[in-house]
Amino acid sequence: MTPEMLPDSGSGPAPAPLSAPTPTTQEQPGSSLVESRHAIRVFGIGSTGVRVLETVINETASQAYSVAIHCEAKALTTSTARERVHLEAKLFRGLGSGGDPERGRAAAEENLVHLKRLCDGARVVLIVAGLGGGAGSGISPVLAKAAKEAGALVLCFIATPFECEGSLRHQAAQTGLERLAPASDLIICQPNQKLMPVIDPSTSLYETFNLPNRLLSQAVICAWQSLSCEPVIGLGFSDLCEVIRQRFNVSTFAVASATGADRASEVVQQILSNPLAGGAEALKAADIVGVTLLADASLTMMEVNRVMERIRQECGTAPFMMGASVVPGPDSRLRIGLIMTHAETEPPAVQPVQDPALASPGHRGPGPTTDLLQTGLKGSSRGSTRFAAPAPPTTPERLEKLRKPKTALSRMRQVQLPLEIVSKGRFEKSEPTIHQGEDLDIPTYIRRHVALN
Amino acid sequence: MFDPSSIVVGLEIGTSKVCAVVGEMNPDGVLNIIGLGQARSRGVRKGEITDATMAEEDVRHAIVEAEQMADVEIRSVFLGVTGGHLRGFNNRGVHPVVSSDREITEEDVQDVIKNAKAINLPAQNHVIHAIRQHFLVDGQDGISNPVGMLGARVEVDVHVLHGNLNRLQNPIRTVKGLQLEVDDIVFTGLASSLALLNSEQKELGSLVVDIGGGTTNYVVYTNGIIKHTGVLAVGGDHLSNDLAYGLKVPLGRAEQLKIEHGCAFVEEEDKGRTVTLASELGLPLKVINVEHLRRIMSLRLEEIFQLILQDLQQAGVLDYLRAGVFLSGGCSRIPKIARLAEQVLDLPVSTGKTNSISGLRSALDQAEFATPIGLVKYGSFQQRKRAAKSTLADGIKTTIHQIFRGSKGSTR
Repeated sequence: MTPEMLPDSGSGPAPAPLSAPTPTTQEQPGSSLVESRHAIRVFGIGSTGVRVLETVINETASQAYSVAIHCEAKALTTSTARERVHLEAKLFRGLGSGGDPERGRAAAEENLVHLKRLCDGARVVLIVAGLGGGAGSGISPVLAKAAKEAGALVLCFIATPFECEGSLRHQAAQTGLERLAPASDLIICQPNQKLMPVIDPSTSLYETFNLPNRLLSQAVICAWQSLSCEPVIGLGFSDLCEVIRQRFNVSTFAVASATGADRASEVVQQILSNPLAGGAEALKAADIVGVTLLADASLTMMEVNRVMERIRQECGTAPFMMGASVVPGPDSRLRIGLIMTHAETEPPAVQPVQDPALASPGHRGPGPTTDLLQTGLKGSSRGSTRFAAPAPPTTPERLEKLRKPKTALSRMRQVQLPLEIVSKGRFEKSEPTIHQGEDLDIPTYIRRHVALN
Repeated sequence: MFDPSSIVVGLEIGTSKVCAVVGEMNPDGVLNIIGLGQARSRGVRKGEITDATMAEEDVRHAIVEAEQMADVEIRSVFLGVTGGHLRGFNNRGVHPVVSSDREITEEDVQDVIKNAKAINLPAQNHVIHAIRQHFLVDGQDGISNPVGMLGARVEVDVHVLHGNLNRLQNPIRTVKGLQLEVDDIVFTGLASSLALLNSEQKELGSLVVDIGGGTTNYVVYTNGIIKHTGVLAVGGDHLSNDLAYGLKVPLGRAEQLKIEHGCAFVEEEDKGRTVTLASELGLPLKVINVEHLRRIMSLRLEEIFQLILQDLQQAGVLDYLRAGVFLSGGCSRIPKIARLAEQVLDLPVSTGKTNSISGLRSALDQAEFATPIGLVKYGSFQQRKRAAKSTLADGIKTTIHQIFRGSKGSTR
């Protein structure tokens, strides 16, 4: 890592801070970036991101303006993204990020100018990444910040690792999520562990990520199409995101599609059985629900009404909004995307079992941190980000410092309980009436915790 | 008629109002209320003076009003005292009968009472009342006058009510600052009970709960004697304060809401009912949920009764209250409070009536005036005692005089 070692790094042009722009098919500088159809850009970051991006490109027939970013050149060679960016840092000596988010971050910050240029003129930036590794957790926050500074709406589609991948990876994912939160407008989080119960037991390890990746790509495609089509009825997707953003930062996004005459009922049925949506209970418990509908020109008001009627029933008291768009093309599917945020934790059925072995004593992450991490991940609710401060201008050294007192950080987090100071009004200055340890000057209903709603 | 000894004045410096009541004793000992003066109290919290200047001004207003109405000059008052620092307990005094024939004499009774009143209290505490209860002769209970009975040992119970001397001095100083004498200080709860109960109710056993502005005072009578007293520094002020906090309205507005819409129960029909507060211009200012208002009040009142219930249970007097519970004080005007008290205490509850005194009946038969009227009544008892002593002396004097005159006459 010392400068004199640099020349040794054989592979990769070390001094070149910018990506080595590997074969880019349609590199249209300047004008193309501000073109309206490039206003929505999909960024795939890291191995998961690039893989998901590939599916998105295939599904959308290369219409989406796609950018693949990775620290390893090898992973980019198979990508068909419009822009392929190989982030290389001096630090790496051509070895990639090596699973260290800090390295990924350092690389991204080194190439900030380039990232900013990629975001230039974008209206909406979709960031797809798997957190926990070096590239995803490290680059995404920097990119999100750059995109936000460029004036774009930043939506992040995030997959978090399985429990069995180890607590270090979890911690990296959590840190990444925390850093991503202040920089992005909305984080759609897909905890892979949540999908564990629905993965077919006979699935080979090689195919394990097929399902999570497929779900993630469906979500991205749905979001992308909703964004690129004007809403016919209700709110546009960006507006939906905007409204939800005002409440919470981390949300769940589930997608379902159906064809045929009865597609309206079927699609609702499917969305309710979607493991990410968490079923009808989760919908009822949701703090806010956003629904986006996509279909071809044959979409009828009757169908929209039928879907929304069912959703309304399922939502119970939870407030919800919707938007429906017509997608040009011969696609006969009716697709529904459901964004939810939860104030409470998820229904216990899908909560991952905490493995005590993960928090082994020899590990850097102590017990409480792991707990926090898990609640943050499995909940994907407000807990993890609600109180997150805006990201300070970070340097790799500062981050290193920040990483170390991680425990102190989490302890501070625990202190943030709702503290209600009851004023004693006119008895402020008189002698308190204490009866068996109770201050009778405080209203009885408060002492007895009677809720006035 | 305006012999100063026949005028008895009760003064209560309460948390919500200062009230002076003037009573006149007929030559035959019947008490008649002839004047009433009151002023809004500003310098009192929880029954104790916190702003002496304000309190003095308010007392002056009340006294002046009472003087004008009764057309007398007030020189001395019986002052009601209360506060969270007051404590009551029962104490027993023992005296062995030493006379050879074991007959209990008047001296024995005086001695035993003296013994009972000798209480070890911290120096800063002052005994307000030491009320005699029943005598015991050789362990036999319930004797009201043991003089002439035979026994080896005579005992007596007294109910002692004491409080912090300095805090008791505050209202006395305030009154003395107005060039008025304080005849005696009286616990306001005791005064209320005197105004509300007749001897039959005292005999049967009853509880008087006086829920005033700043304090709740209660007194238990069983078998005609005071068995238990208590002060809870919680009152109507707390209700208003709770409402101000819970409904987020100013205190004055909360007070008004309490009076206009208050209730001790949350009824089914209150659910969802609202009251719109209007500004001076008549524009709607704020919508108040009646259910919340009454829920807050109900919880507070329920708690007050529960605390009283706990105390009575500890004192073990709950089973002797056959005449039931009598409510007085400003808070007894809250609708359905009797029903709430009934529910909590599981005893018949009624709002007390001060019908044992004549004069100004319709004006005085209100729960707030129980205490000052009781003070007057207490005062009249004291005056009567003094008068009895003085008449005895006078009688002797006149007899001697007459004898003397007669002898003179005869000589003439």
